[in-house]
Parts: sequence; C-alpha cells; structure tokens
Amino acid sequence: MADKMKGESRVTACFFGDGATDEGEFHESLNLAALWKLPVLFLCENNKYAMGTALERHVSDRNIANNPPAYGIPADSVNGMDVVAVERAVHNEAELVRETSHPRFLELKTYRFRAHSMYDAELYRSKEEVEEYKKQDPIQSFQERAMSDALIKQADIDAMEADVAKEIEEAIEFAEQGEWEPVEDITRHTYARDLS
Amino acid sequence: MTTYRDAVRTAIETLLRKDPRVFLMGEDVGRYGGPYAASKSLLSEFGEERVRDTPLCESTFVGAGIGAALGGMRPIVEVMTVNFSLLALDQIVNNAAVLRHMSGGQFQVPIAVRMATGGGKQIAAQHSHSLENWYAHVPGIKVLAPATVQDAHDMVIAAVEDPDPVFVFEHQMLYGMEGPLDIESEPPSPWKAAIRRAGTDVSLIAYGGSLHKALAAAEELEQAGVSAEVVDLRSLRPLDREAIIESVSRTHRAVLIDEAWKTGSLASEISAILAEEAFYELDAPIARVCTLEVPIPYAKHLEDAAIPQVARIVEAAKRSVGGG
Repeated sequence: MADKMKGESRVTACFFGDGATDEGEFHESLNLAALWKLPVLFLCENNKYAMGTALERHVSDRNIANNPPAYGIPADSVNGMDVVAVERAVHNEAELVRETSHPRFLELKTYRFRAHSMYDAELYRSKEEVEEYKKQDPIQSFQERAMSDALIKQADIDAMEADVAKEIEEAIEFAEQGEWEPVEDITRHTYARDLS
Repeated sequence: MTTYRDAVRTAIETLLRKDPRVFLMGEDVGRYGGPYAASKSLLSEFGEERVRDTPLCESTFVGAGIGAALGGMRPIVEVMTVNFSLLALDQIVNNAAVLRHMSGGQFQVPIAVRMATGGGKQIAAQHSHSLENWYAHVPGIKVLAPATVQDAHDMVIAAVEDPDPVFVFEHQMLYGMEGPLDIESEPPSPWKAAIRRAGTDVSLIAYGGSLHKALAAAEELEQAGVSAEVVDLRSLRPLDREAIIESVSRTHRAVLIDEAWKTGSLASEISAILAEEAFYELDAPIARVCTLEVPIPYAKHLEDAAIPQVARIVEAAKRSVGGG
C-alpha cells in the first residue's frame, strides 16, 4: 500500500501457510488487496499441515487456489517441490502483478519433512508418509536434474556443500563468540525513546 | 469557540495538507464524512487515496495501516468504536506493539489509531464500552485520552508525529462539546497530566469523558465546603505518575473516576501506584468511581446508573474527607 501510494514499482510478496487460509484475515486481505488494486503476490506454502492438523481436517475446499477468484484475484498452483517450476512461476506472477498493479495468488504445493517445532512429537502423521515425500526432496531432485542435464558436476556439488558447511560453522562460531545483550538493556527498543 | 469534532477535523486537515505521507482510513470516513462527522468534507478536498473508506474488516485495515507505516507512510486509522477495535487486537498487540522491540529497533510503526469510546448516547453494549485500559496494558504502544477541545486537536497531531504507535480515545459524548482552540501556540506535552482545577482537600483523578463530571462534582463540593483538585490524566500510557503522586501528596485523599469496569481498570492501576508510592501521604482510603460490572444497558435510566455520575463522585469525595 505504501509502495502504491508513493508510486514505487515494487511488488510485495506475502507468504503464509495453508493453515492461515482458515483465518478470516486471509479472506479480508484478498478482498482489500483486490478492491484497492494493491501490488501483492500472495504465496501460499501449502505443506498439508496446519501445525498438526491435516489439510482435509481444516479446510472445506482442499483446493486452496479456489478462494482468490471469488475476490477477482487470478490464482494458480505449482509443484513446490520443483525448484525450476517455482522460480519460473513466481517470476512470471511477480511481473504480472507489477504490470497490472493487481494482486495475484500462487499456491506452492510442498511438504514439511521435519517436526513443526522442537515440541512436536509428530503423532498426527506416519513415518511412511514422511519417507514417501522425502523422495521428492526439492534440493535432491534439482541436484539430480542439474547433473543429468550436465549443468553441474559432482565436484561442484562437493564444493558448494563445503562452502555451506563452512558458512554455517562460521556463523555458529560468530554467535558463540558474541556477548549476551546486557539485562539492563531489556526495555530498549520498546519505544523509540525511553518513556521513563 | 470550536467543537471537539471540528478540532479533530482541523488537526487531520492540517496533517493532510502538511505531510504527503499522511492519509486517513477507516469505515465511513470518506463519503459519509465520519461516523461522528470528524472527517466531514475531507474526501472532496484530498481525494479517495488519502481519505480512504474501508471495508468492514478492522483487523485487515488496521493491519494495512501498520504495513503502510512500516513502508514509510503516516497513516491515521479510524476505528469506529473501541468495541469494534477488538477485531484488530491481533494486529495491534502482536504486530504494532512488538515490531520495534523484536527487530532490535530496525522497524518502526508510526501509526495513529483514533477511536470513539465510552457510553451515554444510548447506543447500548455494542458501542458504549470503555476499554482503553486494555490498550494501556500493552508496552510498545501509547494511549491518549483527550478531554478538551484543545487536546482533541493537539493529540491527533502528536499521535501522527510520534515515531511509535499511538492510540487516541475520543469520548463519544464530547464530539459536540465547545471550547477554545488555539492552533498557533506550542502545545503542552501530551504525555503529562494537567491540573484542571486546583484544590486542597481531595484529588479527583479522571480522564476523557469523566473529566467533565469530575469538574461538575468539584463545583458541587465547593458549595459543600470541600476544595477538590481535578487532575486530567490526558495520557493513559505512559501514565504521569509524578503528577498523580504530587496532587495526592497535597490533598492526601484520592477519588479515581474511570468509565471502565472497576475490576482491572486504570483506576485500579492508579490505586496500586498510590499504595506503593504514596501510602504515607494518604489520610483516607482511596475511592474508585467506575462503571458497574454489567454490559452498558440501552435504557437511559439504566445506562445512567451504570456509568459514573456527578452524584457518585460527590458522595465518594465527601466520604473521603469524612463528611459523607
């Protein structure tokens, strides 16, 4: 909204999960964005679970992309496990939002391999289901595709993995060397200026 | 003389004219002219973009205001009444209030949210409650309650110019009230309480719509030989603790008038402040004059009985000084 009022050509990418589509605010936001022609790309990462509640147990219409057209918003779905398809679809949708200054919606069908949080014992789904989806691992399948298309070699992958491992190690090292924020600063940034 | 409603309108108009980042949005603020006529004719002057009618979706339009503030705008969001603002509490408490702190100061949300509060107009329990203490509970936001025509103007300006989210509660009974408005002089800080009437025997501490009942009570008390000091809190968060303690240290008696329900009210908070920080100054128990613990009734005589009235304030003050 700020971008539109200031005449900027930016597009806002709004990410949320399948669970958020149950909220009234999802529908209110689609209505408002369409009514005011806001340059928003709604990106729904549908990983089949709202924390521990399966899609079929929390939405009446399992095809989430059926909702936005009711508000005049074009909607599409893409296989969220396919890196190339996601890149192409998001790029195209974002450009269309920019050109038309009208919101659009893209559903990215995906899956969550790990637990929702460290407190999640994953009692709501079977290990077999998780294993089945792991076969579609987007990183693994993109890697295989790039290899078979001769875009990269094993040596490139090894180098990339080593780089990533090093970056993570350095980040951990940096964090461990850091100092804890002093407790006296606890109220800092509650307001622009301290109220007391 | 200017009405409270026109003072609000003048402030909004001044801000719209002065700063291109400012815009007003809310239900019926445009074509209807504002549910309380506080934005009459602004649409024709500033256009649909800057005086924006919203759908009925408090959570989302307050959220849009928060997003616009994050994006460098200075939105004034009007929510028709405090009752309706509850639909936007998620955006207010979980986003506006916390983003600066959670981002270590990287994000700021300079949004001004105005809403009507209070009872007395026979619009029943859907539109008459006083819930400003809910907002005053939350760190990260600021809460103002203008009780005079001058403050109605100055506080809208202060709310928009402030770098933090500021909530302005306009008491619905005050919109038609007339008073002087000076738009030339430098206004006093909105975050400080004001002594609206000096006195020596008892402090009547009030804000918003209750201020005028406290002033009327002080008048009656004077006839009865009791000199009451009337304190207008003005800012509900931060509370001007010093001013409250100073006044009570002079009069040694406190009657707190608050249109919220007594349980968990700001009057309760002020009682606690006095008990903690001015206990030995008190010569009598603190008295609270609040709304009875019922949804505000529609029927006039019941509504009057529910919310604080001059007679109850006078009675509480007399009991406090030992003459009642």
